[in-house]
Amino acid sequence: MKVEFVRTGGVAGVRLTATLDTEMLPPEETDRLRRLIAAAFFFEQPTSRRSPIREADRFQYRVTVEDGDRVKKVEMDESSVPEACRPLLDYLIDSARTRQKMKRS
Amino acid sequence: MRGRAGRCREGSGRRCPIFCIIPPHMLKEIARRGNAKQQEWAWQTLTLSEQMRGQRQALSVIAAMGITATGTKRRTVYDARNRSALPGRLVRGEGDPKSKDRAVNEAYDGAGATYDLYLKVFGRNSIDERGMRLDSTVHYGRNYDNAFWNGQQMVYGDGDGELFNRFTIAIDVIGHELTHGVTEYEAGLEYQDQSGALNESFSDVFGSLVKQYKRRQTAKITDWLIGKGLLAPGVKGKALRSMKEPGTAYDDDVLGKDPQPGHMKDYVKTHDDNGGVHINSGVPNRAFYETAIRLGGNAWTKAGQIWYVTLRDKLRPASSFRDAARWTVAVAKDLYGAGSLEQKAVREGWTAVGIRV
Repeated sequence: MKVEFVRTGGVAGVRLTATLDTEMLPPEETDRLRRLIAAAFFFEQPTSRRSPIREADRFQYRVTVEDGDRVKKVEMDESSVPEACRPLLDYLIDSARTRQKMKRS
Repeated sequence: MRGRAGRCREGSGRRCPIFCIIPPHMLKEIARRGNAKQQEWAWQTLTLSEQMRGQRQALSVIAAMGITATGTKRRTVYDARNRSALPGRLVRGEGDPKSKDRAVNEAYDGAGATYDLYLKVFGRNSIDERGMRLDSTVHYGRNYDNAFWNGQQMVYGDGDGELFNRFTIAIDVIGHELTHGVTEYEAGLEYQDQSGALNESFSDVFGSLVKQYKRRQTAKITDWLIGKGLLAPGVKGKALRSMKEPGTAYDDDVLGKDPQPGHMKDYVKTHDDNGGVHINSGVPNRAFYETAIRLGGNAWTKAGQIWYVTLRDKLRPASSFRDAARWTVAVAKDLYGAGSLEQKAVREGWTAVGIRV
């Protein structure tokens, strides 16, 4: 399974990205990621959750999951993120930050 | 007019056509500029639509509107305690002594400095021109790398410490957020593509002016940076953006290079960030800088005045860069005369970024 995460927007306008491939992850991380994707009902989410009222300086998220034959891309405005998706997004943000730290050191 | 609003209240509420058809920015305009009857109707409608959205806080703000005399500063700061429920716990109100928490004090002082610029330089009674209370929440979320205006209040994260420091650290970022409120009440610039980049640019322009006015810096000596101090130690960069030289604020292994263009020929077409609103704002940002530097002295006096009147009276939700250029030139003519140095400076400012008017 492959997961691609992109966060754009925010007052700083800086992109945050992460690409996770379960072939490269330890088994416990793969399990965790799969559980989070299931708990987010990711494959049942609408492909676009744009907020009707665009709030200034908020983040936009784009998550693409490729799992066997299934491929799904979901775009969400920060203010429209459903509760169920929040833990998955938090996990992906943390993963992106960890990658950044490795890049720095 | 009153009857229509009354009927809405009695109905089921949900399907009231007036709420759906007239966007809030237009209602706000009617509430400010209409005759007495229209004003009353617009305020009632606004109040009801806020109520429908369940925004009780906005209601209390609206209820207080029109009764706050010009010059009454009312600030409140809340602490979200690293959660994301708003507004959080009240920690400092107007006139309260300093907190031990520097983020609280920075939010309080920054809101005050922004209020002062708008009142003393532009004669504006708070964000909505009706004495609106300035609410801020600090310590929002966990390692939250952002600050935003949610339509009713400012919200500041602590930053992650690796890339960003706390977002209250830069007074121009505070002015930036509050100006999103002003823009919402005035031009209502849509947050997408060129109108969105203009919305961003006005926030940077007045955010920078808050800093310049507070420090009494002239156009020549100020740094024209947005968000200085916000980048964490170790990040290669000076700030989030440079109005003077867009694209030069940072160049870092992790953050990448500042993507802002300073000229129309480098305008970035992208799907991300609502069409690159934080990227292409570099073009109008530099037009303001080029104007201000030509006029000399304090940027808030003339360039700021021209930009403020344009935002307040001329621009519309779908305005483009060219509209902003045309209107600022027209406003300069209204304020300073046809063929005046001021009008010439504005025209040259836009020409410098590739927009001829």
